[in-house]
Amino acid sequence: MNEILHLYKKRLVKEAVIRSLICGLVAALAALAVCSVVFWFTDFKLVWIGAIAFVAVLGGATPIFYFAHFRPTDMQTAKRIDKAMGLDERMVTLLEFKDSQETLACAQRANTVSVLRNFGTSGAKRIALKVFSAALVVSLSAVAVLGLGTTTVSALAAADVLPSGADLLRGEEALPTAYTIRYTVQGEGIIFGVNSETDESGAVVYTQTVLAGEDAKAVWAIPGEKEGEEYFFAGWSDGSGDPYRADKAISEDLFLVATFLPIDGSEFEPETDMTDQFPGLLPNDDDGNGIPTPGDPSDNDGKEEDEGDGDGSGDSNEGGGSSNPAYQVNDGKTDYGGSNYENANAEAQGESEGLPGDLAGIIGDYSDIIGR
Amino acid sequence: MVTEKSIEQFCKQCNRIFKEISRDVVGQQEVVQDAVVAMIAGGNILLEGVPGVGKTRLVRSLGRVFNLPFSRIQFTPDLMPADVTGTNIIVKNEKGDSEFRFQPGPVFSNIVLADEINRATPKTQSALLEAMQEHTVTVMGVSRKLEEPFFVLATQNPIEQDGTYPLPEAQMDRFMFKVNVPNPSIDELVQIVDMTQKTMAEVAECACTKEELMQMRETANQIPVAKEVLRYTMILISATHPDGECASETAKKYVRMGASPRAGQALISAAKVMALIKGRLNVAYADINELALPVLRHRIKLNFEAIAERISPDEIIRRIVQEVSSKYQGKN
Repeated sequence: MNEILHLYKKRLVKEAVIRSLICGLVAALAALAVCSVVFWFTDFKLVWIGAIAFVAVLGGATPIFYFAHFRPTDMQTAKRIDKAMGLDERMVTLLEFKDSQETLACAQRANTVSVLRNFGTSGAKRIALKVFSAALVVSLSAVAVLGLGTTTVSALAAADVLPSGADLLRGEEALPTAYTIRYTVQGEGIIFGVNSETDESGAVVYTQTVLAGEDAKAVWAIPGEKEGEEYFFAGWSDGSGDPYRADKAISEDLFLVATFLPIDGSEFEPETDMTDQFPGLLPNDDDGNGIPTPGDPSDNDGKEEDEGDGDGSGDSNEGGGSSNPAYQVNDGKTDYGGSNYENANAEAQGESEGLPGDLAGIIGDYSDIIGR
Repeated sequence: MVTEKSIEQFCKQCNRIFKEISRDVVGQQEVVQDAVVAMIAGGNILLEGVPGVGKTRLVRSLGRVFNLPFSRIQFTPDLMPADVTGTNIIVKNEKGDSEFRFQPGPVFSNIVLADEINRATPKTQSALLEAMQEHTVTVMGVSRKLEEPFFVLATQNPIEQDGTYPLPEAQMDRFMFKVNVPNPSIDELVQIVDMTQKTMAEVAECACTKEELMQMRETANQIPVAKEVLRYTMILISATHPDGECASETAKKYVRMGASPRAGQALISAAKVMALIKGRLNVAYADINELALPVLRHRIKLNFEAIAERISPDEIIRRIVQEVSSKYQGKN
C-alpha cells in the first residue's frame, strides 16, 4: 500500500515544487521591486544589489513555501487520488484506518489496493497537476511587471538617462510659487515703493517678489529732473497712464517701464530702441518712438486725439491705457484739475509728517514738481 | 462477529431482497431501496403518497420478505393510545381470583404498519413515540421491551388534510426516512394492471430471516467512516440551520428550523448500509448526498418566504447539498 501511495505522492511533490518555485518567484520579484524603488528614490547607483536580493529571496522563499505550505501530506495525497480516480473516499478511509485490524477495515484496505492496482503504474498520471491558480497568475503577472519595470527605471536613473526619484522630489520642491515684478524707468524719474538695484548694464531696476495669486505692493512713478530740465510721467509700458499702480492677483513675471518726458515739450528721443530692448513690452507704442499712447506728448494742440469712437469728444480710451480726467496732459503739462493739486498736496504734506526724512523729502519734491 | 463471509452474505441477501420485493411491487426502485436501507439500518419509515400508489402493499411485502410478524393499525380519530400499546385487563387466575393482566396491543410486533398515521389524534400518535425511539412500551408504570428488530412503517396522504392531525416535530424526527411514493410511470402502470388482472395475491417469499437481518445490521455498523466524511455529514446537518455555524445561504433564506443531531446519526447509519449495497466497504460523500433527501426532508421547517415562493423541502435540500459539497468536498 505504501509503495502505491508513494507512487502517487511523487507526482504531487512535483506539483508542490513547481508551485513553491512560482511563489518564490513572486516573492523575489516583489523584493526586486522594493529594492529598485528604494534605490531610485535614494539615488543609489549599485542596482545590481537588487539582483542579489532577487536571487536570495528566490532561494530562501521557495523552500519555505514548500515545507510550510505546499508539501503534500499523505491525507492530501489520498484526497487527490480519490478525486482524480473516482474512488469514492476509499483512499481517505484506507489511510485513516490503516492500523485497524477490524475485519471490515482490512477488507476495505484490500479492496482499495486492488482497485488502485487495476490502474497500474500509469494511474498516477490521471492526477492532473494543478500548478497555476487564478490568484497565482495575477500575482505573478503583477509583480513581474512591477519588478521588471521598477528595475529598468532604477537602472536608467543610475545611468543618468532618467532622473532619479530624489531628483524629482527636489525638483518639485523648487517649483516657482512666487513671481517677480521688475520696473525700470525711461527718462528721468524714480519708482517709489519698492527696492532698487543696479543691473549689469548699470541701469536701475526696481523689483518686488509676489506670491502667486497675491496682490503686488503699490508703486508710484515719480518724475525727476536732469541738468535743470524737469520731467513729467508719460505712462507705463503696458499702456497705463496712472503713475500709481497696484497690480492684482499676480500670475506671471512682469516687466514694466515707466516713461518720463521733459516738461518743455521737446520731442522725446529714446536713448535706445525700446522695441529692440524690450520686444513686446510696449504694446501701445503706436508711433514707434518708444512711448505708449494715449496722450502722445508731441501732440501740442491742446486736445486729446479722438481715436475713432465717433463722438468727437477727444476723450477716447480705445487707443490704449486709461485716461484720468484729473491727470490730463495740456501743452506738455499735467493738469491736475483745478483744486485737485492743492488738495492732494495738502493731503500729502499732512500724511508725510512723521515719515522718515528722506521719504517726506521725496513727497515734498514731488509736490513741488507738480505744483510748478 | 463480522467476517469476510458476512460481507459476501450481505450483498447476496440484498440482491435477493430486492428481487423478491419486485415480484409484488412494480417499479418504485428508489422507494424500495430507501425502505430496505432504513430497515437494515434499524430506522422507521414514513411513506407519503396519494392513495393507490402501493404504500401498504410495499410494507406488507417487506414483512413477507423479512419473514417478520406484521401488524397493521388503521389510524382513525377515535383510536386511543391503549388501542396501540395494549392495556391491563381484569382476568380470573387459576385460583379464581381477579387480577390485572397485560393484553399487548398491535405495537408488539416486529413490523408495525401505522396506516394513515396523521388521522389519529396527537395523543394516540404520541403513544408510538417511546416504541419508535426506545423500542419499549410503558403501560401502567411497567415498561415492556419490544422484540427486535422493530420497525414502524407509517403512511400518510399529503393531499387530504381535512380531519387530520399533522405529526409533531418530535414524532417526525423519529422517522429515519420520509419516502415520497410517486405515481408510477406508464410502463409501470401497464405492468401493475397486467399483474393484478391475473392475481391480487402477494407472491414475495422470505429472502432473509430475522437473524440474518440482525447480522446484516451488525455488518453495516462495522463499515469504516473516514473523519472527513463524518465531518462533511455534520457540516451538511449544520448547514440546514439558518443560524448554524455553517449555515448555508439557502437555509438562511428559506428555513425556519434545521435538522436535529438525530438526522446526523440517521445519515451515517443509512450511508453505511448504502455503501455496502453498492459493494463498497467505506462511506463516500456520494452516499451522504444521495440519502440527504429522505433523511432531511421531514426534519426541516420552512419559513414563510419558502411557503410563499412554493419551494419544496426537496428543492431546498438539493440546494443546500449543492452549496455544501461545492464548498467542502472540493477542499484538499
